[in-house]
Amino acid sequence: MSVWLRVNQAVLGYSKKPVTPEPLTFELLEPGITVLLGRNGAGKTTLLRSILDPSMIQKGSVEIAPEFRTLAYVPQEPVFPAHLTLRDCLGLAFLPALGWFQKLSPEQSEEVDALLAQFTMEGLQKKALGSLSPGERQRAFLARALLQKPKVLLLDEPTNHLDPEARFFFWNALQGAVSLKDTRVLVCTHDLEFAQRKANWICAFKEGRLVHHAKSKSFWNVETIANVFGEGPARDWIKR
Amino acid sequence: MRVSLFFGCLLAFLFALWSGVPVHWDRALDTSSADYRILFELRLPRLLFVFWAGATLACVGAIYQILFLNPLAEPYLLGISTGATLAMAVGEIALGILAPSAGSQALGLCGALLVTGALLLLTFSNHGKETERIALFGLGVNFVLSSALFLLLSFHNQQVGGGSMRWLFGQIPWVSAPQSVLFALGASGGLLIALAAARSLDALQFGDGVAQTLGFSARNTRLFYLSLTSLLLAWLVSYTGSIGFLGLVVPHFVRRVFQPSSTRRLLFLSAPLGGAFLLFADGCSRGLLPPLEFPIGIITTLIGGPLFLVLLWRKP
Repeated sequence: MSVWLRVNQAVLGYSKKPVTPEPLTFELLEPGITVLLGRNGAGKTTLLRSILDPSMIQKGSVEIAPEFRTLAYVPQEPVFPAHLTLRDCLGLAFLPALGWFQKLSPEQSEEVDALLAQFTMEGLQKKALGSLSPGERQRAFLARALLQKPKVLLLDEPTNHLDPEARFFFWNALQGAVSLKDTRVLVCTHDLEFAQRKANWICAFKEGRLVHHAKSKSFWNVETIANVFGEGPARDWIKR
Repeated sequence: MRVSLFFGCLLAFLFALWSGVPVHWDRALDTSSADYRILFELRLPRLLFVFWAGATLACVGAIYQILFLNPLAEPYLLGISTGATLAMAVGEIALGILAPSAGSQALGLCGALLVTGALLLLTFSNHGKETERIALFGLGVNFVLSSALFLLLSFHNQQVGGGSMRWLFGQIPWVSAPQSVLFALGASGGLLIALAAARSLDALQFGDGVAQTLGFSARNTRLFYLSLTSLLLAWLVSYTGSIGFLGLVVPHFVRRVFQPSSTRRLLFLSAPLGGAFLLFADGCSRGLLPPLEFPIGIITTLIGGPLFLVLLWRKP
């Protein structure tokens, strides 16, 4: 296994108040779904964003290995042009591959069709992004991200504002569409149920420190959960 | 769609050509008549200028809305137009540099660049990560500069040549044919450059992070487009003062009605529609009470404001 994310002596955050109290060092090796867990402000989102925005790295480095540098990103609160149709939005995934004045090739259009079918969103393709439900929109952004054929897919609390049904659809779409051999998925989420069922690896943060970094199975016991989220949530979780 | 757009432009052009002091059309081709002079030496150059002024304002508005990720961004609302206007008003009152002239345009560019520079600084500083703050900052700048302008004009109203209306609301000047052609060439050139590079705006409208994964640097895109637009804007404002609302209404109208699939299409449709809109407004400003002329900014706001409210009222 080769390292795909290398965090080396990194101090992260904006200007004077770094989120990490001490330099952070770790590596991610395995393909599959890696979930970043932690309370609000624990540093998981900061880590994810510093992969895309070097201005958040004050010292050290956060680096994706060169052979994995095709990235795609679904932000927490996406900004989007409300008038753009779903289909045109997906077409934008091919921007890097197109020349200045090129249009989508027939093959690329077929890829869009195929993904729309896979996500069962064919009926929505002419609709404006602004008129979709938040769940549909988030799945649309996931679809666009997947069409970019990323080696690394970054998801920043993508199901934060979604109802349980939309959340279910989102995670299912993700699992159905990603070939975990080729794509490394890095997800920030508060959705513990998803993390327990689908994650291959879990990195848990507490107050800017990495307190747990191992296979998903070893996370789900009272002590570990209590360490990250507190006693109450841990007991509650185990009861279920 | 293209046909109706073309006829819209043509209608607006004919209306603006007809509007104003009545012309004896039968004598229009007689080179010695006053009617010939009115049509060919005054109105036609003016209309060419007005069309490209409208096209520029509409495109700059559309670009700002993407650069600042804010649907309310517009050169007038962000204070950039007012910055240029204030600099030129100061030039005219304190230094005796009459507008429009090269010296006055240079002053206007300085004013526009100062405000744009302040907005850029905010964008690149950490505070600018929240895009709302940029729009609010621009709005605040606009209030302050407008008040300063108003104060200045209140003190010096008697001495200023064109009256204070031109500075406060925006007014189309009588440009000479060479001036008009030069502006049309410059504006169309600038807009072509904006059109050619519009792919980067396609990426940026999904936010900085996504733009980066699509291969475009948000920072460079903003720097490039803000430089280009403030150049165009300073040139325009040195003639007209700040004309509000056009940059807000036209791109919104195009988005709602045509649902353009790319930013390039958005700009491509906004330019002629903005031109037609300003031609129509110019026709109204000269035609309502000839030979009096209303400041064109009042007309654009009177037409644009309610239209914008209607657009806001209807759901997307």
